[in-house]
Amino acid sequence: MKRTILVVDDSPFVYHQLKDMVEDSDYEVIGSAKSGEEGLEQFRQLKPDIVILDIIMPGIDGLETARILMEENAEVKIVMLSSLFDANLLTEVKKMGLKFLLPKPLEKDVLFATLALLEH
Amino acid sequence: MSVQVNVVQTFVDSLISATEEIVDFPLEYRKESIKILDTEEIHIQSEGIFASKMCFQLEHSLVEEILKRMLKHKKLTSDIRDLYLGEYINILSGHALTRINNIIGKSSRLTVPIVGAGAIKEKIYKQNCVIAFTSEYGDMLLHINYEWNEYL
Repeated sequence: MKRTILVVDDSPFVYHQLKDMVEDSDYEVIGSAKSGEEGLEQFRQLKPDIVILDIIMPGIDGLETARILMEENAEVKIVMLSSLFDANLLTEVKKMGLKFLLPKPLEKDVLFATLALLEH
Repeated sequence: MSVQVNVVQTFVDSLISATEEIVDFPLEYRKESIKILDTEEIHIQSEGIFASKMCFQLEHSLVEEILKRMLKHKKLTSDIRDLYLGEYINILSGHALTRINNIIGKSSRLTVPIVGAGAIKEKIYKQNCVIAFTSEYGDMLLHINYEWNEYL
């Protein structure tokens, strides 16, 4: 059975990029949301295995969305995405208990390496 | 500012490498100023140690090529056009700000990009620079109004 992914990003670019990248793989993008608020709703409805979450978004940002998701579901697997990926942000992400922050634009090899790590 | 950051060079390097990564064509930095007409504007701001207002002006022909390459074979509709363009600028600005943050060891954060004129913070910062790029598809200008928040 394919592992399911929810993409939360205000730009459809990442959603389309991801859909193309996971085609013919063990993963499937089952939904997308354009804001943190919409992402939380979609997560509750779709119950995906993995959430790919952008940090800079209008409304509640990705870090706050991740915090709420982890509060609601301790088992949730989250991969953060950002065009900004400096040392301070990495520290902030780690402090929250998040393990993965990928730089934009997404690279296929990096994405699959991260997805593989998520399984362990 | 105890650590010196060459703002122009940082943005030049970041915009060239990020453009190559996203849409796979070269942007070329031009030292001499250029005038471009028929442009689209995208605004983005940063807050934190590097406080700035950035305005990207892209020639329409360049915008069209960027969108075509980002979309690949997908259909371009008016509602996603601005979102794709905003994402391109978000990635470019993010790469530049990442370099600045890593050099200084402190944080600045980006706002969501706004495609179109206006709707930007009224505050005027002390320093200005204009960076010009050219490509086979058209030109780009980046206006940065910025200052360093020394106390952060």
